[in-house]
Amino acid sequence: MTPESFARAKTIFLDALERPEAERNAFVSGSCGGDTELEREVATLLESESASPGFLHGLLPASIREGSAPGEAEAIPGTRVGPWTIVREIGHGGMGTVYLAERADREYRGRVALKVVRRGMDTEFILQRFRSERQILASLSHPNIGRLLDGGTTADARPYFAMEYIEGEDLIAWCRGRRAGLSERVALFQTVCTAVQYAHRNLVVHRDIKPSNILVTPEGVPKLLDFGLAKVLDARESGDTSYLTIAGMSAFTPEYASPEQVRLQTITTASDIFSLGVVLYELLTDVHPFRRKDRTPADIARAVCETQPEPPSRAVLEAEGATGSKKARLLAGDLDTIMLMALRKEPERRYASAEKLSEDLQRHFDGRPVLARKDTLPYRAGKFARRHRLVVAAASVVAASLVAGAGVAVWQAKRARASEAVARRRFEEVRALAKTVLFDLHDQIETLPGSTKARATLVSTSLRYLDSLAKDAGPDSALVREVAAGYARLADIQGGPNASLGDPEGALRSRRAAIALLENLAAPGGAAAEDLDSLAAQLDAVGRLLGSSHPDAPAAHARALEIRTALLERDPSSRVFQRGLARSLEASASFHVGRKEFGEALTLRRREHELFAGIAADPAAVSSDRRNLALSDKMLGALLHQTENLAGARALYEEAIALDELRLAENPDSAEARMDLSFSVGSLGSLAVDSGDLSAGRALYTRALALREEVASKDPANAWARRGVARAHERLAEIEERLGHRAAAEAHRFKARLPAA
Amino acid sequence: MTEPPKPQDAPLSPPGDVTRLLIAWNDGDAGALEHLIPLVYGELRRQARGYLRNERSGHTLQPTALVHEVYLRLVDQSRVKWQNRAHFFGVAARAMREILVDHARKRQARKRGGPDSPISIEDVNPAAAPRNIDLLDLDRTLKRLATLDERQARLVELRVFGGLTIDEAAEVLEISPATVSREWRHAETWLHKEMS
Repeated sequence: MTPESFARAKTIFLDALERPEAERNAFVSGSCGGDTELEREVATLLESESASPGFLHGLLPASIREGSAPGEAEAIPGTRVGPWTIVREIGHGGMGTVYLAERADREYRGRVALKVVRRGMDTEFILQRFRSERQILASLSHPNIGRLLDGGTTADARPYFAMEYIEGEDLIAWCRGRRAGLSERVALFQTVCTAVQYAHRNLVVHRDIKPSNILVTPEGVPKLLDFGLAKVLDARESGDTSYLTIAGMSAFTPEYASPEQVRLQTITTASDIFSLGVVLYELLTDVHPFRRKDRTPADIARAVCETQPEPPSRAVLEAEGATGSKKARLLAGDLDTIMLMALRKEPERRYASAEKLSEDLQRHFDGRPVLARKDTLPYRAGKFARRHRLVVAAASVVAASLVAGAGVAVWQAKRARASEAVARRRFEEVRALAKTVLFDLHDQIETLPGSTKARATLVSTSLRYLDSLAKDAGPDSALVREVAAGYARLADIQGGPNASLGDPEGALRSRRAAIALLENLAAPGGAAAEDLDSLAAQLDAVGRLLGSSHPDAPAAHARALEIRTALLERDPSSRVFQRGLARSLEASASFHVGRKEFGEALTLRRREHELFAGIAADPAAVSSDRRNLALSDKMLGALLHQTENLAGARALYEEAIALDELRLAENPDSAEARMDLSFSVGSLGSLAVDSGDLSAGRALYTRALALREEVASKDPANAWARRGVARAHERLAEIEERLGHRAAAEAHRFKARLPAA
Repeated sequence: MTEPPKPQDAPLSPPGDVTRLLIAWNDGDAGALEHLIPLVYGELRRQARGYLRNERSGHTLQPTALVHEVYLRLVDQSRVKWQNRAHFFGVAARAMREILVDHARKRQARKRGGPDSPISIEDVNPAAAPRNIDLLDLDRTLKRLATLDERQARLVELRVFGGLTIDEAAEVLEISPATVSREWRHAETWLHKEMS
């Protein structure tokens, strides 16, 4: 931490404390402007503040201690508020302070809970709204609803509300304290549903149902508090948009809010159904469906809108392990389905009323079939974003089982001689699983934007286990081959040609590990062709990572070229060996271009282009063959461009664009195809600029920029796309400069320097 | 100021000395501070020794009470304004902190190898302080705080070791009492976070 970041966190923390508790989270994420580290720091401070307010208080002599909440005037017992006299403070909530009070003139014998709204809210508006709502709110008369009795203004001009005083504990705390069983919890919840149903019939939506608003009396009667107050206090309704611009959210509790509340859309009775669903979930599982450790309030708000909550039975198992298995069994099936139905993202697909929710619970306990239906797969998998998340989630599950499985296998392989057959079988299972994760699963998510990090985790996890298996397995050439291929795959993700994670050092380490394994395989002579081909590929990749000026690079490329030439001589019609040789030619040519040895480079490039063109012309050619040819077009084109053969270069660039457009049309989700096309377009753009056609150059680079921005916005971790965006801005700045558009040039230059979005 | 600084454990200086130095310093004589510091340290240390010796017999060390006691002995109340008082405590707070930390370190060194019992400072009213705060830990954390926000660290020192009120701390730090309140609230929270 630096003094600067310390000061920023301090300011946001202190400003957040000035706000009602319910608004703080939103205010903090708004103020941090996406700086997650800052946000976490402030969140920890707020947590620490509420966990132990006045940490040093006890160290101070009594004579100098101030009130616990500086800034907020403390109401002193005996103070008059309207016709009420304050007895003591009983709570300190987001909207203000709640006091126990009694009627000053003793006319009304009962005691009331007096909620005094905190300073800083729009008193005039709140009172006006209260006056318009009070008739309805005061008429709500239900044994499970805490009654609103009166409202007014305090002497220091703050609104207050007098409510029926209820001595009780919040719903979840009460159930925990009494170790209430499942049916008792559901019965309490059903009573709450009748209260909500009653209010809904009277056209009052609660808007802020949460456990702390549901008190259970010592006699076990649940009482729902603050009905309608959320609406009265809702800043959104006042047209006071400053709340919205600061926080992006209004004063509700994100943990229990519905997706439409988070999104500031229309709030209906269905919003209360969602909140009831969250309460029920937490009540029956002791796990919150969206709140997790390390999740910031903004994360929670996002999860409310986007994440499918886990079936409650599974959440219990995850939270409690084996001890929760009995509870999980009770929840699995009907109760899972009922809760998930209440928690659906789309308001119209939830239970139509609180009564319907309660009835379905009753059906389950009566042993009758429930009305709730499982969410259908097409609904969940409908949107691309969601589908993608599911794949990644599935991958993580597989990776987790892999970790568990591998541990067992290694352990068994090490000791149990007696059960060697069993160990061997487990070993093979783990190996198969690792292969699945490393290759099949990885390939499935590879082209999806946003998956870079998930892919790296997946691959490195499975590789670690393959590697330890390989050490235990002894000389098993198939296994060694798998591990080598795994290292190569990892290197691609770390810093391959498309440098997704931008980690060239890590890639170099992985490549060298792969080479060491492959050299061992090739050593006994008469090595398999495929191992030699892999070895050549890794040598070229190492040469590339080292760069043209590194003394070890020429030997790596020369050896690769030698291996591949020999392989093709063995079988001249093999497409595999043709591709292999073309790749090594390409690598060597790039090496010479890097050393500005254009003559050598041109000879190598022409041979390479010839091979790729031959492969792509084959009717059996696949998408990757077209990619290879397009890349080769660009490489040869660039060399011609550089050596002033502009017409030759133009034809090649145009061919590359046509090939890339075809590939993107075949696979619109592919980040790689989109980036490839952007570079083909950019190449033609640079040619236009060099031919003197600046406006054509500008149009082409603008198109390239748009393509790259699309990739970068879908996957901010993609370093390749980020660099591409910056480069396009740089080129556009040059063009605008030459066109005499100083301001436009400045703007591009500025954007080129922006950090990753 | 012609009078040479007194050695640290010099006999109690007459109240006039400290009072005069305090007024002079407050009126802008920076040199007065040089003479004031050893006087305050010496008296504090002398007083503290008595308390620290009685530690084992269950005596609770009350740093701020100690500072107040020393103040009463050293300064002639009738001659100083409350601002002078604040500045005296500003000096005394730093001295008190060093004396206590020094003592705690020595005690820990003596105890090395034995069961580690943290040295804690306790409130004058133990009922209000459920937790004992380890003094060396507090000192370390305050040092770290000083690298991030020196003024805030100083504020904690003034309040905890000097027993200054918000208004007095505001006077010493030359900021408004409202700012002191805010800073104090943040400091408490930050220290709690770092020390728990």
